[in-house]
Amino acid sequence: MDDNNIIRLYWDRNELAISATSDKYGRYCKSIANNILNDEEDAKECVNDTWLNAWNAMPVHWPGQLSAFLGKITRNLSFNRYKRARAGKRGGGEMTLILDELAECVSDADDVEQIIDRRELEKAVSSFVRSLSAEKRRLFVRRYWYADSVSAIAKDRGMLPGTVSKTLERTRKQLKSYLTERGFEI
Amino acid sequence: MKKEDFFEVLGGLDDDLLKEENTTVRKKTNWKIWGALAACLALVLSVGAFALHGPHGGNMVTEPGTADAAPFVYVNDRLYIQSGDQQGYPEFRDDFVYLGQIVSDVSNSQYGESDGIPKENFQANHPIVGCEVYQFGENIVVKINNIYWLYIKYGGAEVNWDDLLETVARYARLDKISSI
Repeated sequence: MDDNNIIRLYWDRNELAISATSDKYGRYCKSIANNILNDEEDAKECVNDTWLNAWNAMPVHWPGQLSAFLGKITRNLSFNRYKRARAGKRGGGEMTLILDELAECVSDADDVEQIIDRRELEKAVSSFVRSLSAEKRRLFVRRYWYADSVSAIAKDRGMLPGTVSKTLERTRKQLKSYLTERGFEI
Repeated sequence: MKKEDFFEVLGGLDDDLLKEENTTVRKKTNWKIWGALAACLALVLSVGAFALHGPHGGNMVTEPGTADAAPFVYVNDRLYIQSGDQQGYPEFRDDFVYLGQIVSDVSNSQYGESDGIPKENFQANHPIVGCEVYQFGENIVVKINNIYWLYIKYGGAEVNWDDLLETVARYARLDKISSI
């Protein structure tokens, strides 16, 4: 079903919206949740919560791009669940590796006094990603938005895992410089 | 800033940047395919046994496409990648245009000489030699074990069977309306 028709169902408060969304984007959202949580049951619950959140957000909101709208909800819910599950524990899993890589871009300190305009920072990161070459952009988005493993990215892109890791490492360094130059001391 | 907070900041990437790239959608187990594969395997084993023990000897015959679909195929100087929806379509369509058969495959070893990506026409990086190749609009369809697998232009926008068939049906309806 066309995205606009699905959104129309949400706006009409028609419960078919849920099954239509699940049919079209169920596997997409489940993959995101699974990448972050690495747990089938938890992933399934996050996907179901995604439909509920989408139901509550529409109407009022008419998503410009339904896949991104749903994917962002799933990503947020999954990462919140990941943080709750990981509280007090250390190490293990793909997410730990991803977060450790991202730690290279930030101070990783609880700087409660520092006030950063979150929206401005998001915009700067988007501008940076947009400035990358198509290939680098794909790798970056796959790794740090979709939380995909390096091996899965390498397989899909027909690259060596080592090449993917090296490219990501260079991109992280570029990102840190990019943000620092623009006054984001994070 | 904590790394967890930064991961959340990255979650705010603009929508169009996400549309460009997609995660690997985990493959659905298609029991029809596995059933077909098991049947093919049994066939190969029995033919092999005959070749070994039969009174007249003979060459072992293997059916083409005794494995799952290849990740890439190279057709008419263009590289195609298997569609992300990873599902075969069971029926032949009249709008499939027959092009030929896969003539050779490429090792998908990334550590040997080959990088696993086909570079000559009608190659695939998987043992699917002999499988029929069809053009379907801008895309390629490869028949493996009587199931039609969709391949899209490498680096192009993601397309899956459902969207493609829906689009074709929509155009068909429009044709009908305009002819009325």
